[in-house]
Amino acid sequence: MTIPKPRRRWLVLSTILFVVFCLIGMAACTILVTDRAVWIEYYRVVDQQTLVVGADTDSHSWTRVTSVVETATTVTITVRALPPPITSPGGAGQGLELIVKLRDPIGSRTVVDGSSGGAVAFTRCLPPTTMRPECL
Amino acid sequence: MQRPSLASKSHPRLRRTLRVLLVATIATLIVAGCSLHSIGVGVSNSSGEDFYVRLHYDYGEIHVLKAPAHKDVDVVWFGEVGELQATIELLRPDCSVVGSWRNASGGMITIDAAGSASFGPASEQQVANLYYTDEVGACGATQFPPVSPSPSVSPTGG
Repeated sequence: MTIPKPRRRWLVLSTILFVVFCLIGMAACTILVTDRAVWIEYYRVVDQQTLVVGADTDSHSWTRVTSVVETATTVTITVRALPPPITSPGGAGQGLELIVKLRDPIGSRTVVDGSSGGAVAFTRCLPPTTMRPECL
Repeated sequence: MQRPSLASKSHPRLRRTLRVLLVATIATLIVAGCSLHSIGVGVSNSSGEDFYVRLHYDYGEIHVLKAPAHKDVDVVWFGEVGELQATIELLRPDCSVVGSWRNASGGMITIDAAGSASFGPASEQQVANLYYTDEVGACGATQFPPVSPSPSVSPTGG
Protein backbone atom coordinates (compact mmCIF):
# COMPACT_ATOMS: atom_id res chain seq x y z
CA MET A 1 0.00 0.00 0.00
CA THR A 2 1.36 3.41 -0.88
CA ILE A 3 0.64 6.52 1.16
CA PRO A 4 -0.36 9.53 -0.93
CA LYS A 5 2.45 12.10 -1.27
CA PRO A 6 0.86 14.99 0.67
CA ARG A 7 -0.09 12.64 3.51
CA ARG A 8 3.46 11.23 3.63
CA ARG A 9 4.84 14.74 3.99
CA TRP A 10 2.49 15.46 6.86
CA LEU A 11 3.66 12.23 8.46
CA VAL A 12 7.31 13.29 8.19
CA LEU A 13 6.46 16.74 9.52
CA SER A 14 4.53 15.35 12.49
CA THR A 15 7.41 12.95 13.28
CA ILE A 16 9.87 15.86 13.26
CA LEU A 17 7.57 17.89 15.51
CA PHE A 18 7.20 14.92 17.87
CA VAL A 19 11.00 14.57 18.12
CA VAL A 20 11.36 18.33 18.71
CA PHE A 21 8.75 18.24 21.49
CA CYS A 22 10.51 15.24 23.06
CA LEU A 23 13.82 17.13 23.01
CA ILE A 24 12.19 20.21 24.56
CA GLY A 25 10.64 17.98 27.22
CA MET A 26 13.99 16.37 27.99
CA ALA A 27 15.64 19.80 28.21
CA ALA A 28 12.92 21.00 30.59
CA CYS A 29 13.41 17.91 32.78
CA THR A 30 17.20 18.49 32.81
CA ILE A 31 16.66 22.11 33.85
CA LEU A 32 14.34 21.04 36.66
CA VAL A 33 16.90 18.53 37.94
CA THR A 34 20.10 20.59 37.62
CA ASP A 35 18.84 24.07 38.50
CA ARG A 36 19.98 24.58 42.10
CA ALA A 37 19.54 27.16 44.81
CA VAL A 38 22.64 29.22 45.55
CA TRP A 39 23.84 30.52 48.90
CA ILE A 40 23.76 34.32 49.24
CA GLU A 41 26.89 35.48 51.06
CA TYR A 42 26.15 39.17 51.61
CA TYR A 43 24.11 42.11 50.48
CA ARG A 44 24.70 45.82 50.04
CA VAL A 45 22.13 48.57 50.02
CA VAL A 46 22.45 50.82 46.97
CA ASP A 47 19.33 52.81 47.76
CA GLN A 48 16.21 52.04 49.78
CA GLN A 49 14.73 49.97 46.96
CA THR A 50 17.87 48.52 45.37
CA LEU A 51 20.08 45.82 46.85
CA VAL A 52 23.13 44.03 45.49
CA VAL A 53 23.46 40.41 46.58
CA GLY A 54 26.69 38.44 46.40
CA ALA A 55 26.09 34.80 45.51
CA ASP A 56 28.48 31.89 45.81
CA THR A 57 28.43 30.43 42.30
CA ASP A 58 30.65 29.99 39.27
CA SER A 59 30.90 32.15 36.20
CA HIS A 60 29.70 29.51 33.75
CA SER A 61 26.33 28.94 35.40
CA TRP A 62 23.29 30.95 34.50
CA THR A 63 22.69 32.57 37.89
CA ARG A 64 19.67 34.76 38.53
CA VAL A 65 17.33 36.00 41.23
CA THR A 66 14.29 33.75 41.02
CA SER A 67 12.13 35.22 43.75
CA VAL A 68 11.85 38.19 46.08
CA VAL A 69 9.23 37.89 48.80
CA GLU A 70 8.65 40.98 50.90
CA THR A 71 6.93 41.06 54.27
CA ALA A 72 6.79 43.76 56.93
CA THR A 73 9.88 42.34 58.68
CA THR A 74 11.80 40.37 56.05
CA VAL A 75 12.89 40.35 52.43
CA THR A 76 13.44 36.77 51.28
CA ILE A 77 15.61 36.49 48.17
CA THR A 78 16.22 33.27 46.29
CA VAL A 79 19.06 32.92 43.80
CA ARG A 80 19.30 29.88 41.55
CA ALA A 81 22.03 28.72 39.18
CA LEU A 82 21.71 26.53 36.13
CA PRO A 83 25.02 24.95 35.14
CA PRO A 84 25.74 24.60 31.43
CA PRO A 85 25.47 21.10 29.95
CA ILE A 86 29.18 21.19 29.06
CA THR A 87 31.50 22.83 31.58
CA SER A 88 34.94 24.16 30.92
CA PRO A 89 37.57 24.57 33.64
CA GLY A 90 38.38 27.88 35.29
CA GLY A 91 35.03 29.22 36.41
CA ALA A 92 34.47 27.29 39.59
CA GLY A 93 34.06 28.89 42.98
CA GLN A 94 33.66 32.47 41.82
CA GLY A 95 31.35 35.05 43.24
CA LEU A 96 28.65 36.84 41.41
CA GLU A 97 26.77 40.02 42.26
CA LEU A 98 23.17 40.54 41.25
CA ILE A 99 20.87 43.52 41.54
CA VAL A 100 17.58 43.12 43.40
CA LYS A 101 14.83 45.71 43.08
CA LEU A 102 12.39 45.94 45.99
CA ARG A 103 8.75 46.96 45.92
CA ASP A 104 9.02 48.82 49.25
CA PRO A 105 11.99 50.53 50.95
CA ILE A 106 14.29 48.08 52.77
CA GLY A 107 14.13 50.08 56.02
CA SER A 108 15.10 47.88 58.97
CA ARG A 109 13.87 44.64 57.43
CA THR A 110 16.04 41.51 57.58
CA VAL A 111 17.29 40.03 54.31
CA VAL A 112 16.80 36.27 54.28
CA ASP A 113 18.40 33.76 51.94
CA GLY A 114 15.57 31.79 50.36
CA SER A 115 17.77 28.71 49.84
CA SER A 116 18.96 28.32 53.44
CA GLY A 117 16.40 30.33 55.38
CA GLY A 118 19.20 32.16 57.20
CA ALA A 119 19.76 35.88 57.53
CA VAL A 120 22.12 37.37 54.96
CA ALA A 121 25.06 39.46 56.21
CA PHE A 122 25.01 43.16 55.44
CA THR A 123 28.14 44.81 54.11
CA ARG A 124 29.19 48.12 52.65
CA CYS A 125 32.33 46.82 50.95
CA LEU A 126 33.25 45.08 47.73
CA PRO A 127 34.64 41.56 47.69
CA PRO A 128 37.10 40.33 48.90
CA THR A 129 36.81 42.56 51.99
CA THR A 130 33.05 42.30 52.51
CA MET A 131 33.29 40.77 55.99
CA ARG A 132 35.76 43.22 57.52
CA PRO A 133 34.44 44.79 60.76
CA GLU A 134 34.47 48.30 59.26
CA CYS A 135 32.29 47.06 56.40
CA LEU A 136 29.48 45.65 58.52
CA MET B 1 -5.03 22.68 -12.92
CA GLN B 2 -2.18 21.40 -10.77
CA ARG B 3 -2.72 21.60 -6.99
CA PRO B 4 0.18 23.35 -5.18
CA SER B 5 2.14 20.72 -3.27
CA LEU B 6 2.86 20.82 0.48
CA ALA B 7 6.58 20.98 -0.25
CA SER B 8 6.33 24.16 -2.23
CA LYS B 9 3.85 25.81 0.20
CA SER B 10 4.63 24.75 3.80
CA HIS B 11 8.23 23.63 3.75
CA PRO B 12 9.89 26.90 2.71
CA ARG B 13 7.87 28.71 5.37
CA LEU B 14 8.73 26.08 7.98
CA ARG B 15 12.37 26.16 6.96
CA ARG B 16 12.38 29.96 7.20
CA THR B 17 10.73 29.86 10.63
CA LEU B 18 13.23 27.28 11.89
CA ARG B 19 16.10 29.35 10.51
CA VAL B 20 14.79 32.48 12.25
CA LEU B 21 14.41 30.55 15.52
CA LEU B 22 17.94 29.18 15.21
CA VAL B 23 19.43 32.61 14.52
CA ALA B 24 17.43 34.10 17.42
CA THR B 25 18.68 31.35 19.78
CA ILE B 26 22.31 31.83 18.72
CA ALA B 27 22.00 35.61 19.03
CA THR B 28 20.48 35.26 22.52
CA LEU B 29 23.29 32.96 23.62
CA ILE B 30 25.93 35.35 22.26
CA VAL B 31 24.30 38.34 23.96
CA ALA B 32 23.96 36.38 27.22
CA GLY B 33 27.61 35.36 27.04
CA CYS B 34 28.79 38.87 26.28
CA SER B 35 26.75 40.39 29.11
CA LEU B 36 29.05 38.80 31.68
CA HIS B 37 31.69 41.23 32.78
CA SER B 38 34.63 40.51 34.97
CA ILE B 39 34.93 43.53 37.23
CA GLY B 40 38.11 42.29 38.94
CA VAL B 41 40.55 45.16 39.29
CA GLY B 42 43.97 45.42 40.86
CA VAL B 43 46.42 48.30 41.08
CA SER B 44 50.17 48.06 40.96
CA ASN B 45 51.41 51.40 42.19
CA SER B 46 55.17 51.76 41.68
CA SER B 47 55.11 55.50 42.17
CA GLY B 48 55.82 57.36 45.37
CA GLU B 49 52.35 58.89 45.27
CA ASP B 50 49.07 57.65 46.72
CA PHE B 51 46.11 57.17 44.40
CA TYR B 52 42.46 56.24 44.69
CA VAL B 53 40.47 53.92 42.44
CA ARG B 54 36.81 54.71 41.91
CA LEU B 55 34.39 52.05 40.70
CA HIS B 56 31.22 53.59 39.41
CA TYR B 57 28.63 50.89 38.75
CA ASP B 58 25.95 51.68 36.19
CA TYR B 59 23.18 51.08 38.74
CA GLY B 60 24.51 53.97 40.83
CA GLU B 61 26.81 52.53 43.47
CA ILE B 62 30.22 54.18 43.80
CA HIS B 63 33.16 52.68 45.68
CA VAL B 64 36.46 54.47 46.22
CA LEU B 65 39.48 52.48 47.37
CA LYS B 66 43.04 53.36 48.29
CA ALA B 67 46.00 52.51 46.08
CA PRO B 68 48.92 53.53 48.29
CA ALA B 69 52.42 54.28 47.03
CA HIS B 70 54.67 51.27 46.31
CA LYS B 71 51.85 48.74 46.89
CA ASP B 72 49.97 46.24 44.75
CA VAL B 73 46.35 46.14 45.89
CA ASP B 74 43.17 44.25 45.06
CA VAL B 75 40.40 46.77 44.43
CA VAL B 76 37.67 44.27 43.69
CA TRP B 77 38.14 40.56 43.66
CA PHE B 78 39.31 38.98 40.44
CA GLY B 79 36.91 36.12 41.01
CA GLU B 80 33.97 38.45 40.60
CA VAL B 81 32.16 37.91 37.33
CA GLY B 82 28.68 39.15 36.76
CA GLU B 83 26.20 41.17 34.87
CA LEU B 84 27.28 44.41 36.50
CA GLN B 85 28.98 47.04 34.42
CA ALA B 86 31.21 49.74 35.75
CA THR B 87 33.49 52.61 34.93
CA ILE B 88 36.87 52.35 36.62
CA GLU B 89 38.72 55.57 37.36
CA LEU B 90 42.13 56.28 38.78
CA LEU B 91 42.13 59.39 40.94
CA ARG B 92 44.55 61.49 42.90
CA PRO B 93 43.61 62.02 46.56
CA ASP B 94 42.19 65.44 45.57
CA CYS B 95 39.70 63.48 43.36
CA SER B 96 41.15 64.67 40.05
CA VAL B 97 40.86 61.93 37.42
CA VAL B 98 44.11 60.48 36.08
CA GLY B 99 42.60 57.75 33.91
CA SER B 100 39.25 56.17 33.13
CA TRP B 101 38.35 52.74 31.73
CA ARG B 102 34.89 51.59 30.75
CA ASN B 103 33.79 47.98 31.28
CA ALA B 104 37.37 46.83 31.37
CA SER B 105 37.23 43.10 31.78
CA GLY B 106 39.35 42.02 34.70
CA GLY B 107 42.55 43.95 34.63
CA MET B 108 45.38 45.66 36.37
CA ILE B 109 46.05 49.39 36.58
CA THR B 110 49.79 49.81 36.45
CA ILE B 111 51.22 53.09 37.69
CA ASP B 112 54.87 53.50 36.85
CA ALA B 113 57.48 55.34 38.90
CA ALA B 114 56.79 58.56 36.98
CA GLY B 115 53.09 58.36 37.90
CA SER B 116 51.64 57.54 34.46
CA ALA B 117 48.98 54.84 34.40
CA SER B 118 47.90 52.10 32.00
CA PHE B 119 45.30 49.34 32.12
CA GLY B 120 45.95 45.79 30.98
CA PRO B 121 45.40 42.14 31.76
CA ALA B 122 46.77 40.81 35.03
CA SER B 123 48.94 37.73 35.30
CA GLU B 124 48.08 35.01 37.83
CA GLN B 125 51.33 35.85 39.64
CA GLN B 126 50.26 39.51 40.01
CA VAL B 127 46.78 38.57 41.22
CA ALA B 128 48.22 36.16 43.80
CA ASN B 129 50.38 38.88 45.35
CA LEU B 130 47.82 41.61 45.86
CA TYR B 131 47.16 43.20 49.24
CA TYR B 132 43.70 44.05 50.47
CA THR B 133 42.98 47.73 50.66
CA ASP B 134 40.49 50.01 52.39
CA GLU B 135 37.50 51.87 51.06
CA VAL B 136 37.35 55.59 51.66
CA GLY B 137 34.49 58.00 52.06
CA ALA B 138 35.66 60.50 49.46
CA CYS B 139 35.30 61.41 45.78
CA GLY B 140 31.61 60.51 45.65
CA ALA B 141 31.70 57.16 47.48
CA THR B 142 28.14 56.07 48.22
CA GLN B 143 28.71 53.41 50.88
CA PHE B 144 30.86 55.34 53.36
CA PRO B 145 30.39 58.73 54.97
CA PRO B 146 33.08 61.24 53.99
CA VAL B 147 36.28 61.03 56.05
CA SER B 148 39.65 62.71 55.64
CA PRO B 149 41.82 60.61 53.30
CA SER B 150 44.74 58.81 54.98
CA PRO B 151 45.92 55.92 52.80
CA SER B 152 47.04 52.73 54.55
CA VAL B 153 46.93 49.04 53.72
CA SER B 154 46.59 45.84 55.68
CA PRO B 155 49.00 43.13 54.48
CA THR B 156 46.42 40.36 54.42
CA GLY B 157 46.38 39.67 50.71
CA GLY B 158 47.83 36.70 48.90
